[in-house]
Amino acid sequence: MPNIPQDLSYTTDHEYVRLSPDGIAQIGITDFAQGELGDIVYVELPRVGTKFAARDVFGTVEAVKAVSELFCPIAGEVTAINERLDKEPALVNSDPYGAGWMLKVRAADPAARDSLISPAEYAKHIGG
Amino acid sequence: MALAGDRHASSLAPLTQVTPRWAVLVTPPLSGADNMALDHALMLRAARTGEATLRIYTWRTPTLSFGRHEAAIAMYDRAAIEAEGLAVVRRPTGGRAVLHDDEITYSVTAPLSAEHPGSSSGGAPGVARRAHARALYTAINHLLLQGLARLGVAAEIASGDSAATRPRSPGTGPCFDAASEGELVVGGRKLIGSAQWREDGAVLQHGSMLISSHRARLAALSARGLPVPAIPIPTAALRELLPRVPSPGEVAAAIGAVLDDALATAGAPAARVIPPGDETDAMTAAMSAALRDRYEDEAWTWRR
Repeated sequence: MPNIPQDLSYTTDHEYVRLSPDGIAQIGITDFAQGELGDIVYVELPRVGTKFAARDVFGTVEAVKAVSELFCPIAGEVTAINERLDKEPALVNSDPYGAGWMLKVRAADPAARDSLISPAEYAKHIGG
Repeated sequence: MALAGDRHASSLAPLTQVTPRWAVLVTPPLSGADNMALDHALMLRAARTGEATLRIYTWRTPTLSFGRHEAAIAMYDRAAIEAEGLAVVRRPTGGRAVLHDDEITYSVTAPLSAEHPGSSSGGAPGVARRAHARALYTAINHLLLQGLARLGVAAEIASGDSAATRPRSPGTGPCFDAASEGELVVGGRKLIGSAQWREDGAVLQHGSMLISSHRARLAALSARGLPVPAIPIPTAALRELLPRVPSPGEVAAAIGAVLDDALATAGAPAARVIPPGDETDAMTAAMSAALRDRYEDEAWTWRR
C-alpha cells in the first residue's frame, strides 16, 4: 500500500501539497505516483518567480522512456525549486515526501484549497 | 495489468480498452520536424476524436533525434553531425538519441479515457491516464512482437532484471545502448527502442526498428572525451534477422493484422486503413503550422 501521510493535502493528479502557516506550499508527487511512473530519470522544473494558476502544467517528469506532465495544485508564485533533483532525480522515487520535493509556491490565496483532497479521499481515489 | 513476459492474446487487451476505433497510416518519407509534428498532431487528434492511429513511417534524410530531456549539447558534437550530413530534431518523447537511417519508425497515438478499472472511486482521471499509459506501453510492445513474428522475426520482451535494463539518465549514451523493461530484444540485443509522451487525455508512443545497426556511427558523433557506456549491449537489426528486409507497408500490414485480431477479439471493427494518396489529406488536416514550427526551431532542438 503506498504511503499517504496524514498531514498533507492531495490532488487527483497525484501531487501533494504541504501548506505551512506562512502561506508557502511545498509540492511534489505522491508515493503512489512515483511507483506508477517507475524509475525517474529527469525532472523538469520551472524558474523561481514563475506564476501559475491552479492546474497549470508546472513541469514534466521523465521515467524510463515515458514523459508525463506535472500539474500545479494551487495558484501562486514559485519561491524555490529542489535543485538536487537535477542531479539526483531518483530522490523522487526514494523519498517523494521529503528529499524528493519539487517546488515551493507562495499561495496566491492560502484559503483556496478547493481542488485539494484529504488523505482519506486520496486513498479512496487510488483504490485503497 | 499485463506483465512483461506475458505472451497471451490478452496482453493486447489494453489496445482495445483505450478505444475500439483504430486507423492505420503509412506515410511517405518526411523531414524530422514534419515527422514529429505529425506524431504530435495525431496525438492531439486522438484526444479530440477518440480514434487511435498506428503509423508506420521513414525519414526523408538521415536524421538524429534527441529525447525530450536529453543533454544533447554536452553529449553530441554538432560539427560532426553536420559533417555527416545528418538532420537533427528533438522528439516530444523521452529516452535517448536515435539515428533514423535504414530503419522503420512506428508511432501509436491513442486517447486515454478517464476510467480506471482498478479504482473504487470509479473515475480518477490522473490515475487512469498514467495506469492506462503504462498498460498501453506493454501492449504496444506485444503488438510489435507479434507483428514482427508474422514477418519471421523471433524477438522477445526484455525483462527488468538484467544489467542491460538498468535505468539511466537521459544524458548517458544513445538509445540502443540499453534495453528498457518491456522493449523488444533478439538474443539479448535490442531491436526496437520506444518512448512515450503523456499529455492530458492522450498518449504518443513511438519507436525505431533498426534495419542496420548504427552504433559505430552514433559513437563517432559523441562529443570528444565522452566515456563509452560501461555495459553496452549490441543492437539487433532486421537485415541480419531476415532473408529480405520488409517494406514499411509490409511492416504496417503485419502489425495491422495483429491489431485487427485484437479488435475482432474485443468485438470491434477492423482498423480503418488510410489509403495511399489520402495520407496527405490526413496529414494536412492533422498538422498545424505551429507544431511544425516548434519542431523546426533550433532553440527546441538544442534546448539542453
